[in-house]
Formats: sequence, C-alpha cells, structure tokens
Amino acid sequence: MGYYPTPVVHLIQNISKLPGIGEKTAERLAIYLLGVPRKEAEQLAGSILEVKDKIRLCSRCFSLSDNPVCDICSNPTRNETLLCVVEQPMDMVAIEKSGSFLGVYHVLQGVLSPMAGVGPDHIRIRELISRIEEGTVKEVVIATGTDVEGEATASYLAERLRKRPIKVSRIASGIPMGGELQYVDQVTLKRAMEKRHDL
Amino acid sequence: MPIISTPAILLRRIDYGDHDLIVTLFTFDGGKISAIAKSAKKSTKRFSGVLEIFSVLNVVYRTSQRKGLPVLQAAALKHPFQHIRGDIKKTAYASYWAELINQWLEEGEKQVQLYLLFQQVLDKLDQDHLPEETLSILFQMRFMKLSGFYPNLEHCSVCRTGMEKMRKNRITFDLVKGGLLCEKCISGSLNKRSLSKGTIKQLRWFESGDWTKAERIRFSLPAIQEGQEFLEAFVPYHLGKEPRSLKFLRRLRNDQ
Repeated sequence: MGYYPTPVVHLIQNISKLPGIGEKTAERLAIYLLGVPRKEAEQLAGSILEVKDKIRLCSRCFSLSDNPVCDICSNPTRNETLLCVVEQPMDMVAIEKSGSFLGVYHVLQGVLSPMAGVGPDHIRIRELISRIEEGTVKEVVIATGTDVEGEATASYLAERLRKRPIKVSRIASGIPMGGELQYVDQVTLKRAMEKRHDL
Repeated sequence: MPIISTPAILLRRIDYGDHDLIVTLFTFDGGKISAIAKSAKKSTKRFSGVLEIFSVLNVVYRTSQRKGLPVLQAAALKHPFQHIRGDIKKTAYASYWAELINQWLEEGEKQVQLYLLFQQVLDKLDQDHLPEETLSILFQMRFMKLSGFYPNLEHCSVCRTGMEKMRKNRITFDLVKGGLLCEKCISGSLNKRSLSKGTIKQLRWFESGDWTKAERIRFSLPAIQEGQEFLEAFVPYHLGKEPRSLKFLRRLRNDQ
C-alpha cells in the first residue's frame, strides 16, 4: 500500500470497506477507476451522493423510496387489502420481479433473532400492527425467509395477528424450479409433499 | 490435513462475505469447532437448507495445518427440529441454551454428556413433551452439573447446616458463594436471592430425576417460576455474561 500515492491509498481503503471486498479486489477496482474517463468517475461519485441525499424509507411500507410515499403504496391499482410482509427491500423487489403479487408490502427492515439480540422493538412490527388497525387490510401474507429467524418471525407475527379479523397466510415453500430432488433437504421435501396440488 | 466426520449440532452461523458462512458446531467427537462453509449461501446441492441453527447434522470437515479455519466439506441433516423453528418461544429457549453452551465451551474440548443433554432437550422441545419452562430448568441444572458450577442446594455454605434443619420456609441463596445461607450466616452477603424449600427440592430433582417421570409429574407453577428466575440470574452470573437470547426471552414473556 505504501507504494501508491496517498489519494490512491485512501481510495483503496474506502473501497475495501464495502461488503465482500478485500484489499486485493479494492486495489484492482481503484486502479480500474483511475483509468476511466473523468465523466464516468463523476457519474459514479454523483450516484453515490444522490442515493444518500434522495433515498429515504417510504412512510407507509418502509421500502426504499425517493418520495415520502413509494410508487407501490401510491399506486391506486394495487390491492390495498392484501399486504405482503417481507424482511428487506430486496425481498420486495424479488417478489415484484416475479409479477405474482398485486397487493402492497410492509418491509420489516430485519428479522427477529434472539441470539443477535434483535427483538420485536428493533424491527417495524409496531408499524405493521398500526397499519392493520387502520382496517383496510383483509389478508396478510407473511413472506419472511425460511431459515430459523425467518420462521420464528413468521410465528411471532402470526401469534400477534391471530385474534384480529383478518386472514393470515404464509408464503409456500417447496422444490425450486430446475431443482433435483436428491439435493433438497427433508424439511423442504416434507412441506412440498404436504402442500402438493392437483394437476 | 485430516478429514473428520462426526455428528454435530449447529450452535451459530454468521455471514462471511457474499457467499460463505462461518458456522460454530458442537460436535460429538471434538466438542466446539468453528468452520467455514464455502459458497454455503449460493450452494443448491451441498448445503441447501441444511445449515440451520439447532439442526443435528452429520458433518465432514477438513482441518487446516496452517492458521485458517477448518473447512466444512459436507453436511447431512439428521434432525431439523422443524417445530422449534416454527415457534418463536421454542426458538428463544433453544437460542438461550445454545448461547450458554457456546459461551461456556472452549474450542476442541470434547463434551459427550453435554452434547447428549443438548440433543435430548432439543428433541423434547421439538416434540412438545414438556413445557419450555420445565425443560429450561432441567437443562440448566444438568448443564451446571456437567460444567462444574453446580450450586450448593443441600446445606448452608458457611456453617454446613442442612437445608431440612433450617426453620423458615424461605431460604437465602448467595449468588457469589453459589450456595444456601442459613439465618445465622446471612449477614454480609449482597447478591442474594430468596427461594422456598419447595423450589429447592424441585430444583434438586431436576438435576438427577428421570426424564420419563418428568413427563408425568405435575410441577408446582410458582416453584417453576421461582426456579426459572433464580437460574436465569445464577447461570449468567457464573458465565460472566448475560446471553442476548435471555433478554429476548424476557421480552416475549412480557408480551404474553
């Protein structure tokens, strides 16, 4: 590192702070950035600053937005009675890409994790309950992950919502498309078998 | 570089980079080990759906002669305990026990009895054979026995007067000394708890009583609550750190 001029060292240090990027990769990216035209470097720097300045959490669903209320929450064609609960904005994007859901979302911004010390007050559960208490929502689809934390969060939410006059459902889990049965774990296989459907 | 194959219970997993996981395993043959599971997050064949906390696995790992972590080569799921992961209260209790084991065990220290105890309580928890609170007391009492910091619930820690000979129904327990104190010896102790004789007798039963009988016995609810509060103060005190799961567990109890 001492072989590079100080500004290059700073750039390498800053890039290596990004998740999944070690010092070697940071070095390669820094050298690449040195070689790009100034305009391209300015666009990259500008984009970083733009998201820092403009992106906030939607006041309704807590997904990423550049307005106080995001495009999905302000879209009158979305079904407001159907609410899908996800862990992170990326999960919401994944469901949107599938084109299978036309309701609205609620992003918890995390998942309950006893060992990590993440309790119900640390994620957006209170806001979810308040939203349901408004009375518009008729069904809540819990689409948290199927790992231990995701399942435990789904169980906690189901318990909290049990006495309310709404339908609470859990996203199905099963064999992935293109998957080979021999590599699928027995929990997934069992669920897939239990939730089999007529052809 | 030796390759080791052993049953193991997954105690903890943390993300490492975009695709890898670092897992802490409580192995039957080698005690606690930390290993890296390369590409575990994107693998659809080797580790798909397998590396979940509390699961009992058959693992194969390769130890490194250099400084690096052992590398997990394969893992087969033996007991997924799916009812635990589908219930927040069960998950919280299992997390608390896993944290106690993780905090207490040194890497590479073989603990077969503790391994069997942990697997047994997870199994009972999964099958709903005993209430969570009862199982937790049972686990903590036996965990302390195996770990060497079992409390003295037989006689006064100072003058050795037997518990049965103490007149009052409520008896003082000194967290620092790790034992009972009779009325004459109480003074000077700051970190104290009060326990009823019934709770103390019940706790003693949990240390050595028969598992199969536990399912038929109707334990006194106040004694279960008192025993639980006592152990959740005593065990973390002697481990030197309060598990995060315990705070979570208390929060859940407040919700109910």
